[in-house]
Amino acid sequence: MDLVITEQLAKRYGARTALAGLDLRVPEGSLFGFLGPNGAGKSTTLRLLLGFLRPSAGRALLCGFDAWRDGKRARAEVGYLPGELRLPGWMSAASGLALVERVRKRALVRRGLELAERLGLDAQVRARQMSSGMRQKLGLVLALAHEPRLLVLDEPSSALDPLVQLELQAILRERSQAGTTILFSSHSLAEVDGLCERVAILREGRLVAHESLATLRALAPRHVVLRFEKPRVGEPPEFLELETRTPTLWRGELCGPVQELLRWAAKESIADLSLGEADLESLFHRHYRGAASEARA
Amino acid sequence: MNLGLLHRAAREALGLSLLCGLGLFLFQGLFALLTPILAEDFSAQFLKTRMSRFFLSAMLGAEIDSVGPGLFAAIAWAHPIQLTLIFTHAIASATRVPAAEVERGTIDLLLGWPVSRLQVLTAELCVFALSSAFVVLAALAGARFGLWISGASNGPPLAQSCAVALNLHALCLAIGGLAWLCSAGAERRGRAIATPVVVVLVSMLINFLAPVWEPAKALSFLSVLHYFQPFATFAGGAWPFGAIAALLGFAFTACLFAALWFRRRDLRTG
Repeated sequence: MDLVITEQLAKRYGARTALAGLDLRVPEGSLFGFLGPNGAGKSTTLRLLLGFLRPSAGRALLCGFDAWRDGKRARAEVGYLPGELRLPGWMSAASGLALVERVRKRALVRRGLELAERLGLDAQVRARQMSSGMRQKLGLVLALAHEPRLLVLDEPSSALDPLVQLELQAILRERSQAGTTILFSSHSLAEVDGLCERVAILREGRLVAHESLATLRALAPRHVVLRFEKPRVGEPPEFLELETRTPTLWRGELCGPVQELLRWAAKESIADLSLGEADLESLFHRHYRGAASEARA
Repeated sequence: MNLGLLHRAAREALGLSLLCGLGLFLFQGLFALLTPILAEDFSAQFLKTRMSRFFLSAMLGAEIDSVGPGLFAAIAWAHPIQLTLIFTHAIASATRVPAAEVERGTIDLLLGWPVSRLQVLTAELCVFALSSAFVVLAALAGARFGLWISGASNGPPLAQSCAVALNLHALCLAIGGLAWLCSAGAERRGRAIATPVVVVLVSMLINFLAPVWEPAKALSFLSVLHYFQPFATFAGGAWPFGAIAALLGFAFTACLFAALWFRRRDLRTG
């Protein structure tokens, strides 16, 4: 079952289109990365999913319920961390958890306090006395404490120090293994690399990639160095983008499957070949840059 | 009804309500305490001049031609300090959800929980109705306490004071309802506050001019203060059921439209 489904979901503000016909499916139990540069429409999508915004067209289903028409039921099994989290000044982890327990009518204080301890958050400190990192931790505790079926996290590691980021990743992996579906929004691929199984990349309100990370890795450019036994003339194959070139040494990027390179290399007189790791960040930037070059064209 | 939402709304309303309640208690208490001292010279000096009578009439929304025990109580209940505290409480409380929550970004946390917008608004309305009742009761308690301390025997009867307090509570709900309606579609609290403040000021102006200027008198039914006349209640002793009904009807209608608007609007923060 897909816990998040969007069908031709669109949002327009007057003449400006924030989201244009998004079709997205997040299967139950998956750890799903939702990527895009600032202003790509990620937060708009999440706000549509949470029922904060009314779709201009299409629909969003969360846990099987229409996010706009039946938002209360849709959010029952959801834990949400907003992108720019703001908390009432009087709220501490202890008082916040007690409040959420009353709102959700579900015992969660003990679990929440354990989580706060794990993240190194003092349960008695009020939000007005917290740093932005501590407030982010409190937001995570409030989103995770009721062990939701679906977690929607909008840039959760912003403001967290690297050690807490690692702890958060460990928590998310544990939750994912326990069956929780996680929708993780970020503008940085490094954040979701190694954590998520699938990613969707959004650009200017449109979906430009919706793949597993394994597939993206196969498509991602790799740094290639080719040393020929004797001077090589002629054009390089299509899947090689050369940065520097001498008669016996080519350096560049592999923009296609490794198998193609190996097949081609077998026919060439190659003295040495070195192949770098798949550079997902570079692929990601290529998707971003696409927007600028299309606009220039 | 969601108890968590009620708890949250009460937590948010607590500080302002205590502050306004304390202010009203002290103001009414002091006014009642000083009334016997002021009353001795008041009739002889004050009502002799037309200007004095005009200002009193303008403030109380009724012709003043004689001095009785109810006059001083009416002045206290319609005094600008009293009304400022009451309106501040009403407007600040009623513009918190959604306008202030949207402005400060906390609405995301609130509506990320499994609650409907209607539930959020209902909880806020309940807390507002109770907190404004508390504030009005604090004023009433202050007035009775001051009267008791001063030892004056000719103060207004408790029943009349209760009638005026009830009328004031209805006025508070009406102003709150208007503020809610403005808040329902606003993304900035300042914008939501501006309209009810203008309405209150225009109402005060109409009320002020009505006794002396015929066009203003013709428009006085549009002024929200037209439905709060403590002097008439203290003088006549009758409960102002008509005025209370008009104010409650307005409050209900405004809240209904606020709920409809809030249910359908987009919530954008940041």
